[in-house]
Amino acid sequence: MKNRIKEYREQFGLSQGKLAEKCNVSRQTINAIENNKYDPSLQLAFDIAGTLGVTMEDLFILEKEGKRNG
Amino acid sequence: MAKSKKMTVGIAFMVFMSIAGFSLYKWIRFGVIDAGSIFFSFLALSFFFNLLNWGDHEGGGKKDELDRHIETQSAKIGYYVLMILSGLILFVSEGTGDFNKIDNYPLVFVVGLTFITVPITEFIYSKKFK
Repeated sequence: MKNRIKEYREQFGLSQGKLAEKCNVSRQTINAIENNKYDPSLQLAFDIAGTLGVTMEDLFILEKEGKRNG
Repeated sequence: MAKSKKMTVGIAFMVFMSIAGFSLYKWIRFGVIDAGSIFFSFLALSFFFNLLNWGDHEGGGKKDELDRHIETQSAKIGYYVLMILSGLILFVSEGTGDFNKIDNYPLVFVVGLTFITVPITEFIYSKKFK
């Protein structure tokens, strides 16, 4: 799943490390999510959205609508 | 990597090399294969990789969700690697691919267990949700 974390993070003036600290994960985790190597858990997705002050819909982009139904 | 961590990893590697080297020496020089040395060589090697990866010889320590994801995926991959390796060791050590000529029944049993461990575990674990 693609996301716009990097875009919003930079708008917010946060480094990967700072965002990671606020979300209680490692910098590598944020880096892996930004580079689409790892899809975060629902809890972490909400934490990131909350920290960046955006909605989940704004932050995550579902690539194929059909994927939702498997 | 912190200096103390590097040192611990280095010590773990040296311990592994010492035990493995001693086992090899005994095998080549006296033709003796010592199960204890083999066991402790693998134990030292596991400590080395755990220290290298997690900074803890038992693979513990503070982990976030990406670390747990890495652990879960590695466990799945590792299981299938072990399945293939156990089959390979069975056929190589017995020197035949013919099941009728194989005498090492405990190892055949282990290879068989690798096929059923995951399906049975999945069956039992699925009961928690279904």
